[in-house]
Amino acid sequence: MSWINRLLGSFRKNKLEDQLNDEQQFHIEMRTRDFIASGMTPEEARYRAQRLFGNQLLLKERTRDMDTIAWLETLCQDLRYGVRMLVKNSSFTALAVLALAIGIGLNTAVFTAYKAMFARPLDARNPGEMVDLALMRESGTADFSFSYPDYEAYRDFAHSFSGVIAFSPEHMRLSNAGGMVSQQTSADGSLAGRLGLLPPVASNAEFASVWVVSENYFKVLGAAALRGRTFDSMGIPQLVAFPSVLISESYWRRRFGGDPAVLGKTVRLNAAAVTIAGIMPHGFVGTSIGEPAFWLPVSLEPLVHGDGDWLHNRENQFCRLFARLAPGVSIRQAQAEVNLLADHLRTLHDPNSESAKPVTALVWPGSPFPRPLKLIPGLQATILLIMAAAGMVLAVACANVASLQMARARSRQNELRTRLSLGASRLRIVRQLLTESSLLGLVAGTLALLFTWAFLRASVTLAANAFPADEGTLIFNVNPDLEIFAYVCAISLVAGILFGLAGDGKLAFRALILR
Amino acid sequence: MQGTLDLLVLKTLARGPQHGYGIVVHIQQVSEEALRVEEGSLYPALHRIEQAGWITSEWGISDNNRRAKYYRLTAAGRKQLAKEEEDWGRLTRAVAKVLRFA
Repeated sequence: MSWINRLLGSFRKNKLEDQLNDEQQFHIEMRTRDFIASGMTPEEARYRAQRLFGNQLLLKERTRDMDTIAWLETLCQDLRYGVRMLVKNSSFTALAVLALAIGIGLNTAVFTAYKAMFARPLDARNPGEMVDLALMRESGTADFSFSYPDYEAYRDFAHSFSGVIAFSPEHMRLSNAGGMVSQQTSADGSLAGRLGLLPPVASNAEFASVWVVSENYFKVLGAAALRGRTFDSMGIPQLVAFPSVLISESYWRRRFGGDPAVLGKTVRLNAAAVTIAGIMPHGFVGTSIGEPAFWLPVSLEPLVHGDGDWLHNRENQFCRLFARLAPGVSIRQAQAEVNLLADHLRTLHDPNSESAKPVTALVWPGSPFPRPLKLIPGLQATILLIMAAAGMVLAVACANVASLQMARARSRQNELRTRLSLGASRLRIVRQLLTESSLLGLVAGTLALLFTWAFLRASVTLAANAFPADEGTLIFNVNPDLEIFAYVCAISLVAGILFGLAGDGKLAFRALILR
Repeated sequence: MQGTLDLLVLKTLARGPQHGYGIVVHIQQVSEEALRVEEGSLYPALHRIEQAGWITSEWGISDNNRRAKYYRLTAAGRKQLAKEEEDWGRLTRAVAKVLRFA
């Protein structure tokens, strides 16, 4: 653990210095004593002993370098000096930090939003194993709706997956829930409602968002109920005999006031009586991006739609499919298998329908988006454009700070010349300047992180309130995480070095080369 | 040669703890003044070897009642010494062979 000693040594320099002095002096005195003993005069003995020892100052420095980490020490010196310079020029610092913080903050916000929106995985245990399934039709359109018979085929015959789940977001009329809630007010209260984007709802009907899911949905995702139980413990026959639903924690609090007696309560969805069997934990969105009011098992679809053929009709394509890859199976292998199955299944469809034409399977890493992002026309270009725009803002901020620094150039130039003539190496001076600008970048980055956090919080609240509650509750996780923090640090350092090179570089160049 | 100085220091300390001056004096006496270097350049080497964990140091009192820093061989240092002695033997034998042959 030698580097730890050296790290500690770097912080105990004074003590180390004293000890080195003592050690050297002891050596020279001993040598002097021995010379005197051999008959020299004390003056000569001392002089010879010092000559024999060598350059004390240089040797002390070399010895000290063995006990400390030299670059760390230099860095600490540079940082101390940098902080002093920034405090001394406080108005410059405030302006520069503010300009950079806006640039960095905007970039971080864009990155965080991208991550929360498009790069978000499914809400599952080991989300890396989850995949989305869709079919690419001959016409070039992605088709992500499957019929129940097709779902059963994938669920029962695809060996690439340890579980295949079906998901269909729907709206149903809710009744018998007690304490009528007027939805007119909730539509009016939301941003989308106020903007007139939502049609006024008949005030005597209450609607609720219902995510219709296969019975194995929670088991495959690895989600457990907050209270009560999920559908896993109930077989399909039991579910059909005693129709059950789950409700979300948000809806439980909002609609039922968090009353624990809601478990076992019977409500009506599209006039079909169902019993609330469990409450899912807060923020659980599964394969979606929002919390619904209810999760309904797919086997109850005939009941709520009043259509006994709902699950048998191969042309009734209503659900999206997700799957968990079996251990050791790659996406490519899964895709090949789904291809074979899809090719067989299309022959079972109505020969005149689009579904009977040749298809290619699409299997891509689990995402709430119904098709691979690269297949959404214009999306990638848009994202790139937004990122480029944000990058541009940062570049402008850097340029501004660089020009601010140029304004200080004259006084700095004198300082640099003085330091050069006092014996500072050129490399050392450039290092000092870069340390200063990186420091500025990091301070700005910290401020930017706070900015971003506040900004994203505000926009998430806005987004969540933009739709009425009965459309489901949007859940975005925009808390700065480690990856985002690393991104901010990197971008702050890059920004610091960028304007450091733009501003200081020129300054240093003038001072060092054209003197 | 840096490795040589390490070997001499380790070998000297194998006899027991010693301060820097003592190490220098010992090496000079045993080598009959043949190995003479700038005495101060021993100290960067001593500190480097200490950081490598082959020796440790503590402050003690010398025989003329002065405060001095004493170096002591560690277990790892003993192993290193054995290894370096072997390397040195191999090197000198090889050099001797070449000299005899030429």
